[in-house]
Amino acid sequence: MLGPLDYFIWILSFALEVFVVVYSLSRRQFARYLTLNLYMLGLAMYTVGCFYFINTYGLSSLAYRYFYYYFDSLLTVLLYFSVFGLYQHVFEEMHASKYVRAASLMLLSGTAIVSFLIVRQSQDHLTSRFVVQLSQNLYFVGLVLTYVLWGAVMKLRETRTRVIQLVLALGIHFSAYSATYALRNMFPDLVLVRTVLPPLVGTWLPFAWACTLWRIPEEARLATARLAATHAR
Amino acid sequence: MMFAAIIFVISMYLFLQFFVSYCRLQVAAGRRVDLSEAAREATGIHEGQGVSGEEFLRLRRLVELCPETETDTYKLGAIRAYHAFLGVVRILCGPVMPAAAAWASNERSGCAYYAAVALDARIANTRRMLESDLLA
Repeated sequence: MLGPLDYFIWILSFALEVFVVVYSLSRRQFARYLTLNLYMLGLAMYTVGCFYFINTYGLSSLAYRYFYYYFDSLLTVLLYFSVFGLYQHVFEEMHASKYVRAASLMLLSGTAIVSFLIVRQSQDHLTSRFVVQLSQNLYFVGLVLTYVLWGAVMKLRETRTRVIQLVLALGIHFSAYSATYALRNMFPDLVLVRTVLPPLVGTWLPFAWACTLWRIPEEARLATARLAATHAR
Repeated sequence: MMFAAIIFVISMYLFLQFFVSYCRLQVAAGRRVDLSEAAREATGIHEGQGVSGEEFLRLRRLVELCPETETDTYKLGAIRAYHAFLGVVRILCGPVMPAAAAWASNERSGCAYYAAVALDARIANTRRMLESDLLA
């Protein structure tokens, strides 16, 4: 049964997702951050879909569970494109977009092939435990990609505050989800990782991106050397 | 089970790295903002004078007295967590790694200044709200 807090988080997430897209459109930045905006659109559709499935079939129904996990897996793959979109921003001046595109296509093909093989092997027991494992692995791959991107940001001394903040928010999102799913895999009955953490972590990315696009101007600059977690002054 | 445990440990380690970097970005951005006269009066921070990390809780309480602005609550929550994390780092590293403890103290003072900047924004927001109420 969903409480008022669940509905509040839900509405807040949806409002932030729509805000990111509408704000980008109004500032003519939709194409510049195309993959990020497409992901936010997908996320907004997912939020509406979840609401529809809960209202129609109920929170504990199998239909809702399948929709929740499989759409989430698809969105994670869509989020990979956002990561590659950010790679293109970071490598913009090096004119390496064709290499980034090739790498993204290779990764997508690899993910599709591995997922297909896993699903074919496990088609007799496509249980919620299986989808939790799949989500955990997909988020972990996203985390590794984002960490490599963060390494590139630091190495190339990227100074655009907006790009830095978008990458860091993405890193927090992937690492928090990956840890949550891993914990859930280890302790399937833990209430914290089943009902409390996922909606909170889910709100983080739309919130952080909305703040970044709204509050940080495109021309804002900051020295990355000041940001490394291990850097001591 | 083993694989999940490894993923959990790596994810938590990277989460901490991203979280610390994100908070440092916010604190660094906050340091670039000059406080208004009203905020200086309210906080007792004088121009050119640094803020101690210990002031953070007092400043946060002052921030909570003002009506919220649109997006600062989430960020203040993150900075609060960062401040607490730095407190742990300072205590744990103090005896063995003085440089890390000094870094943590410096960052904590940045967190306190961030709270003062947030207070400044809330004071300005409250003023705007009052002015629009008076004009209406």
